[in-house]
Amino acid sequence: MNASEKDSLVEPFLKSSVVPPKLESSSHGGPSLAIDLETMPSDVVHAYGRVKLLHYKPTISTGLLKIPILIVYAMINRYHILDLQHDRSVIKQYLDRGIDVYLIDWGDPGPEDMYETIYDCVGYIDSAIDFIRREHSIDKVSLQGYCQGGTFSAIYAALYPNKIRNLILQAAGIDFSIGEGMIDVWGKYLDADKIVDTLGNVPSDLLNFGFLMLDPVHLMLDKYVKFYEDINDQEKVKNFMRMEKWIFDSPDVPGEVYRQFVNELYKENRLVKNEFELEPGLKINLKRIDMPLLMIVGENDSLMPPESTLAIKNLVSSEEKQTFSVKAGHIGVSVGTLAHKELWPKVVDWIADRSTGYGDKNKATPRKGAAILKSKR
Amino acid sequence: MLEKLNSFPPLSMVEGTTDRELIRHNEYVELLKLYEQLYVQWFGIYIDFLRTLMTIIATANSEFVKSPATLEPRQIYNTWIDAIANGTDALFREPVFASKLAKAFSTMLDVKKASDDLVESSYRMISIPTKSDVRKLYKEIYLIKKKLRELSEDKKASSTASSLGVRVDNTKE
Repeated sequence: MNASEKDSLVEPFLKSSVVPPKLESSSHGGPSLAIDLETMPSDVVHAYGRVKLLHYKPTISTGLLKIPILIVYAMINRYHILDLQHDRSVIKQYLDRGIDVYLIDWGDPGPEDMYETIYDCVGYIDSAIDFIRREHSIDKVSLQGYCQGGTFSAIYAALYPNKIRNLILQAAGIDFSIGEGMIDVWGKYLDADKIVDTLGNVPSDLLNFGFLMLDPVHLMLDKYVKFYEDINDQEKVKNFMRMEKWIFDSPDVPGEVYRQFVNELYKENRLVKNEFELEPGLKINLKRIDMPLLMIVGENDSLMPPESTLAIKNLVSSEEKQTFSVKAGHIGVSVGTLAHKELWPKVVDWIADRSTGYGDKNKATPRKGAAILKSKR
Repeated sequence: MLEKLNSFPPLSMVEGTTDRELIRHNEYVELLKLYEQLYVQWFGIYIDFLRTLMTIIATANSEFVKSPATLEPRQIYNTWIDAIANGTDALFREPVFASKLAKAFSTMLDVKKASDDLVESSYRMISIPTKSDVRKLYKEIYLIKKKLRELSEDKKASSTASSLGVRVDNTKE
């Protein structure tokens, strides 16, 4: 490479007006990107140990909708993907329409949390729902689950259909027999028992490495070449940095949750067979889901193929079932430009149409089976 | 080579060597064997990967030579990156290669377990709490926390139900 060629390579950096992000020490001891996410303000309104319930207040003061929504994100990575920056924030879209948004922050599981199971996760969701019902003096709440959080939400809605007004499943894993992605190829060889018995909680670095290996050339090489090409565009650089921060700032996954998810849901596909037992003797029957159901899928989602989410359509007894799809991948559904232009306004309308004419006159009336979780304790 | 190491008397195996020290010696040898296995497995994966990569690059380059028009650097890059992405995707999907990867990962876990066991047996000799002791403690804490949460939820459910004048049916449907 001659001198002029070298100059042409460094030129974009020299011209760049972007201040390179500082490297700071993260909680893991490694470097972290010192760029702030452009998140909406929220308050912690309830906490159960490390798991917190966040409340986002609507940005408008009139025309508020009566039914709040609880969002349950996956335990892999963090919920910030729904609120990365204002122009790509799902949460902001809800708030601008007058919907109270609640969200479960799973926090950072420590080694002491390795014995937590999906039963505990569903218990946390139940505590959050009860808190919201009390706060708003209503008996039903809208519930939205994304990815693994969608699986948890479907399980919860099957247990407590009388507490859920609308169920929104976004790229949720329901039928795990569908899929020809790399994750399905490797999934066959995954020994969750050995991983959990040896490591306890599943380290985030291991999960991140696994996700990078699904498409190593684009995720570890091409992405950074494209970033280099856009180095002079300050907005693009910031977007990129925020996304990188989200990708690599991920918590560990409680070992037993991982074991149960991989073995019983992913490998044995028990949920669609109505054979999944949250606890011994507590089987989940998806037929009990009877509330309006909205399925949101990304047409190019290789991580959770659309068919995996849409499989729930034929397994529930809901009369009203709607699907919204967008040309996007698993993450693009939340942050993609097209998704924010075409998909999310439709989703907000759908939720808003089903969140009115229903208020505090309806008091909680636990019906048979309402206290299933508690009765099992 | 490792088999020979196993029969080679270590320094501690002199008169008065206890059974416990002999066990530790065997654990060290076992760990070394696992490291050797891991190295061999990763090296095999690396070779497979390198071979595939070289084939892909050679094929892509021959396409460039055949191409009548002068290609822009960006076109060359795109063709090259697509070729490598498709090639690695095909390689990773190959059952033989995937099982090799899984085996290597499994051996990594074996190495981790063997080294943990070694540390654990050392700690036991000097009566220091071990990882499994701490895990037992974590399980106890988890069960206590779970019980507490359930009790507080039960209490909340009862008070909500009584304030609304309804009976909570605890029977499973």
